[in-house]
Amino acid sequence: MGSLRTTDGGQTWTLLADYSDIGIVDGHFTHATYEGSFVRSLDSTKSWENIFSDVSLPTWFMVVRFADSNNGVAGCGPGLGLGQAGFVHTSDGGKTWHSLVSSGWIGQSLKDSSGNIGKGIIDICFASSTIGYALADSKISTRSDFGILKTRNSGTDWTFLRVDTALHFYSDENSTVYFKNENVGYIIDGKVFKTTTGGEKTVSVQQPLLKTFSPSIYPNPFKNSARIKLPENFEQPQLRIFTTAGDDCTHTFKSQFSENSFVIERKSASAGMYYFTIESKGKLLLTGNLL
Amino acid sequence: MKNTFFFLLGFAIMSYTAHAQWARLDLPSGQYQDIFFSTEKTGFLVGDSGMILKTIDDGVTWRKIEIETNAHLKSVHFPSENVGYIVGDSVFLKTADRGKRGRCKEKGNFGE
Repeated sequence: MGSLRTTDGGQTWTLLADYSDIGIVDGHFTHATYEGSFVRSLDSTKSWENIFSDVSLPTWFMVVRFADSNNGVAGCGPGLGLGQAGFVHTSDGGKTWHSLVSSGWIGQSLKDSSGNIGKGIIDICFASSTIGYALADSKISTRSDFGILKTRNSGTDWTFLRVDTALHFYSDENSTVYFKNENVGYIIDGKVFKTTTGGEKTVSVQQPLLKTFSPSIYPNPFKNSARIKLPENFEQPQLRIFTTAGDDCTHTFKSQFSENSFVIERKSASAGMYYFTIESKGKLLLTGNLL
Repeated sequence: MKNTFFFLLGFAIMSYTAHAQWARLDLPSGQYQDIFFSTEKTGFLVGDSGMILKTIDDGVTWRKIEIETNAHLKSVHFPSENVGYIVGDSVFLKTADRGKRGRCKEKGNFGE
C-alpha cells in the first residue's frame, strides 16, 4: 500500500513511500504511518522524520487521525506479534506522542481461536473535536460484538461499544468507520451498517400491550432461578433482560420456555436489579423487573 | 409517599425498553469498502466490482452510478463539495462536478 501526492488538484500524482495512512492537521502538518515506524513531515511531505520508534511499543500503524489542531491518535497493532494493539496519542499537534497500549483491554486477546494475529486498530474517525470512533480488528477480541470503540475526550480514553451479534459485524483490515456527526455514522465490513444514536443504545418510552398484566414472577427476589409466567399463550415469545443502564445482558442468564413460562437461571449475572421485556412478533407484550 | 414509590416503579417497569444501535442498510448485493459524505445530504459508497452508490437524501435512498470498470474500489474522499476521488485496484477516479461526470486515470468513468 502506498501514498500518492498531488500539487495540481489531482491531475498528476507521485508516489511518496509505502505508507499506510496520512493524517493532516492545520493543512500543512502531515503525518504518515507505515509498518515498522511512524513519521511526520513539516515541509509538505518533501522530507520525513521518524518520531516514534520505541521498539518495545507497537510497530504496526494502520491509521492516524486528528481531532483538532492539537489532539491526534494513531491506531496500531501487534505487527509481527512482538508488540500490542492500541493507540498512540498526541496533545500538542504531533510534536510528542505517547502510547495508550497499557490501557485495560488492549493487548489482551490479540489472537483468534486459530492463532491468527489481529491487525489492532484499523480505522479512526473523529465526529467532533472530542467525539471519535475507532474500529478494532475483530480478532483482537474474543467476542465478535466488540469491534468498535468510542472516545469522548479527543482520543485520550477509549471504551468498546457493543454491536448486536445478530448483525454479524466482523471488522478486519479492510473495514471502515465513518461518522458525519456525533450521532450519525456508518461501519462497513463489506456490509454497511448505520447508527443514528452515536453507536449507543437509546432508551425510550414504549407502552406494553398488556397494560393491566402484573407479571407473575416467583420467587422475586431470587437467588439462582425464577419463573416468569405469561398470562396467556403467545406465539414465539422472546425474553430480553437489561441492566438498569439499558445494556442487553440476556446472555448472562440461561432461559427456557415451557408451559407458558420462562424459567431463568443466573449464569454470570451479578446480584442486582434487572428489567426484562417479552415480545412476540416484534411487539412488546409486557415488561417487568427482577431482583 | 408509598403510593408515589409504586407509581414511579410501575412507570419504570412499563416504559423501559432498549433499541438496537446499528441497522444494516438494504443495498444492492456486493462487498462495500468505504463511504464519504461530501455534503450533509450527498454521500457516496464504493465497493467491489466498480460499485459506486450515491445518495442525495442523507442516506435514505441510494442509487447506483454506472462506470466502465469492474475494479475493486477501496476508498472515496471529497476534499470539497465538487471535487472527489475514488481509488481502487489499479484504478484512480476523479470527479469535479459532485460525481455527475468523472475522469479516470486508468479506465472507467466516475459519473452518472
